[in-house]
Amino acid sequence: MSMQKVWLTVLGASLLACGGSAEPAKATPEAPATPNAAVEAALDRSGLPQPGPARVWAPPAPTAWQLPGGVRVLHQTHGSVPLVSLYLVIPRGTETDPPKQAGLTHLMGDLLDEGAGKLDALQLNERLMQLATDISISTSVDVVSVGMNMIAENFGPSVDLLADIVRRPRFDEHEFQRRKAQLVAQALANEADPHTGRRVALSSALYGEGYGGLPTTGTRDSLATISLADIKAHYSRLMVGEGATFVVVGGLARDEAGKHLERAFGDWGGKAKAEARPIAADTGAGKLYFVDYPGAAQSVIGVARRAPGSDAEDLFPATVFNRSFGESFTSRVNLNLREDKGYTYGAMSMFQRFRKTGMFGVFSDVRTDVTRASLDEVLRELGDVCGARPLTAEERDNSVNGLLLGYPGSFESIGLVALRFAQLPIYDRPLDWYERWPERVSAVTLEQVNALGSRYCDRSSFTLVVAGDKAKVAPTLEGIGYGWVELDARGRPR
Amino acid sequence: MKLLPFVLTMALDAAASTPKLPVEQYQLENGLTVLLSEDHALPVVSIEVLYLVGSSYERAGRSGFAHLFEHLMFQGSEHYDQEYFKPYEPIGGQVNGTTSRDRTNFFEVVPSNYLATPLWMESDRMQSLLPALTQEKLDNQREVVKNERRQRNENAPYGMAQEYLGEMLYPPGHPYRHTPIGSHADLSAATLDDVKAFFQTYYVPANASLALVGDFQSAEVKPLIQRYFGGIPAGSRAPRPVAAVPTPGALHWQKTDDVPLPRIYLAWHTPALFAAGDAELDLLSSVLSSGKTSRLFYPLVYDKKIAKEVEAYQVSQQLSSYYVVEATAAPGQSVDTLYTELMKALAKALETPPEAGELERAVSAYKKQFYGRIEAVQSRASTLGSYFQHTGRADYLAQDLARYVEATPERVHGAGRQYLRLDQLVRLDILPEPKDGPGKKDAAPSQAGVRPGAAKGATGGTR
Repeated sequence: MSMQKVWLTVLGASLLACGGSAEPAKATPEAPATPNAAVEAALDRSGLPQPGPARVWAPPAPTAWQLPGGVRVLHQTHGSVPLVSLYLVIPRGTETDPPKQAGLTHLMGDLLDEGAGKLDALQLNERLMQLATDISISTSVDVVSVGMNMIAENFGPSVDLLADIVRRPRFDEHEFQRRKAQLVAQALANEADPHTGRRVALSSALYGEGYGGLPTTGTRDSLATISLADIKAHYSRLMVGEGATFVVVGGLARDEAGKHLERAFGDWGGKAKAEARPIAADTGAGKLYFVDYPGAAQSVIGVARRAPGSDAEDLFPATVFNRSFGESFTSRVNLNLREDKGYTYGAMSMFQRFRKTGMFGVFSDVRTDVTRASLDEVLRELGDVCGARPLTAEERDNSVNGLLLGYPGSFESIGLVALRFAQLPIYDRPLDWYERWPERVSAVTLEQVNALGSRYCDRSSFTLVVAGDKAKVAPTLEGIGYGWVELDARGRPR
Repeated sequence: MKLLPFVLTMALDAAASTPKLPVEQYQLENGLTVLLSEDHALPVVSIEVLYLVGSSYERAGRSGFAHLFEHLMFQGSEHYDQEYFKPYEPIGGQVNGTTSRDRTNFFEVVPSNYLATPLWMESDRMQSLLPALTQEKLDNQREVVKNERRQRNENAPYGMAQEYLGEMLYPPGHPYRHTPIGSHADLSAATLDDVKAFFQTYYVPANASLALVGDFQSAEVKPLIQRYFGGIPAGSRAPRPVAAVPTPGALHWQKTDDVPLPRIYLAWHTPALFAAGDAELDLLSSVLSSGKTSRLFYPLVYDKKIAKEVEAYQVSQQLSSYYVVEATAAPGQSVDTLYTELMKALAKALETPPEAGELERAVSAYKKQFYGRIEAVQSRASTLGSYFQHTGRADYLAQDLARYVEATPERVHGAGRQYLRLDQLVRLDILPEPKDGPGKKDAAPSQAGVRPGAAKGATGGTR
């Protein structure tokens, strides 16, 4: 700190970068690359200003320990407000739903806070609201997680409620009937959204009924088959201490967090007995899936194919590739479809990474009359990037720099930090994952990026999906070279 | 970790646990209001430029123009005639803009050593957008905005409802009659001359504020702000649109959409943001629909299962606000049954003041939400800008929170009785379209809007 002050005095004017940092600035006094230049000289509009010296920052790893029963805790004191974000992560999810009972895990998770311990659903909800503690139970392919967001001083009583919710749910018959009807109603409502149509068709095409497939929240048909006995049996298979991890981030000291968790979960353990569905064969390659939404104002489209899961060897090259190709605003895909052609409000590419498999695709909502043209443009961009126009060194550098420089900002809020730490146990990642992330991104070479891109060259390996107005769009899709499959919004063949 | 002592302090003195947002506010000679709030926790800084113009300032026949203009601000300026997103991506910055009925904002979050970049760029487009403007840019962004309207409103279930509510609540000629997205026809009518006149009237320092929050030293950044923005001609503060508070009416519309379940919207006029009654009505929303035992959720959703969901919320605005109670039918329930039961539950809910526990829960939730607002630099910058816009003072967090903390059950009850009159309400039904009905939303007229849960009154981001 004192070093820096001296250095500032020597230079005599402002530096925007150094406030509060204990890190000595890395630039030398000879380097003109500071906002000083802008202040001292006449206002120069010939080019963008040069940055000041960077303040080095890396996210510290969480502190980790185990409760007596074996459940792990990851903790970090963080932020400047007296809030705490807590997650309980159980690394088993909708992958364990039986093929005919999609939504079983989701409905089970949904029922956890509908009455637990001595409190019925209404009393439990009132108690949480008195504490101003929000609870969210989420289920996805690989995980059931229970999140709580609370005022720090209410951590103890909130954790006691969490223990009831996770360890002593009541599963009352009338709550089961009520919530099941609610999820059926939600499934029905979702069908009206063409984005649901696209998601259902893609999932069906790429993952079938295997791992990663089936709608995680169930369908009207699958929910109907689930009984309360099914829920209770699934609960005992899934919701045990094996592999579970707590994440605690915010305005709370380690000892305080540990004391309460140990009181409520110290003896929690048990072996999981649920099995994941095996990965199914990809049946969608080379096909076009259509979901009809008569009169739709836009077509909701996707061009996607299988990709490796979160254990992919090429995770970091893929991150860099994706940012340049379709993730950022000035990526190729968005500049082409939105800013050049005006077909859409936005277009983007993404990797979906489950633990064991995943998907790479390009997605957009486009004007109905340019549905075919948009699909052609996406396929052209996919072809070009591994042929005529591979990513350039400048694109690689921009992506790497953007990822690195934007990194600190993604640790700003307690909720964001907790959410990041909650990924570690889901994907078996080490505690220093986020600390080491910048060096791994920096190490990605242009050669690796383009090698990654070349894995996605074969257009016959992709599935096309369109959720839109069939009467207007279908005639334009003739000759596109993909086999026609039509589904309804529930994923049933038509 | 600087947090630890803070937690200990709290344990000793509960009164210390109020959210704080320190800010220094001053004006440049040309009238640009500057708001500075330092925080050195992370090497990150956010800046927000707020222009005191939104869709309520638009002239007749130009609905959607303020938002279209916001898009054009990203298409290049005299000294940087390229996409404005471009310089931010290699530095990991976030950048966007939003347009509401009352204001337009532009914000960036950048590594703190790059603070000069957004200052340079924001000042360049404030000073010299027009030399870089072309017909081609206007035409392209017009298409992008029309696609935004299709995506957010026309192609989303119930996506047209806020637009209908605007037409029902506000008479022709009222500045709030249309929502920020505008109509296809008006967007098509916008010309380069419109763009020029709008820029010269509204995009001037005297009609704007600049907020900086995060890792910088005020003493060092002030000369920089002066250098970049001080030379821009002042212009003048644009007068707010004038409109009488519309008379309450009783109106009932039925519209169809491609949705499986009918939904009813009830709406009323309520006081402007920060006016007496505004906070009380927000608290009433919690009493009505937050939690399973809330006064509308319990009878309609939990007990009788007539509704799939019910939500009460207020859209708080500069000139006057409106309040909405929204209920979606459970499968198999008719819109008539839903309406009867909803009115019955609402009448009962408004009969008695909230009990102490009900109000306490609502206040606690707001207090926590205030902490949430000041956690991240960008949210802090827009909070400061909003206080400046509505009260003239960015240093207003304590007063804002006090409105909620000091509310009494009687005042909450009184506000409900006064403004949510059951004999003077606007009712909109969105009904499932008959299966062989006509093509849907293409035929619908004009505008778009604010969805519950979004920031009060804000809509229309550029991305």
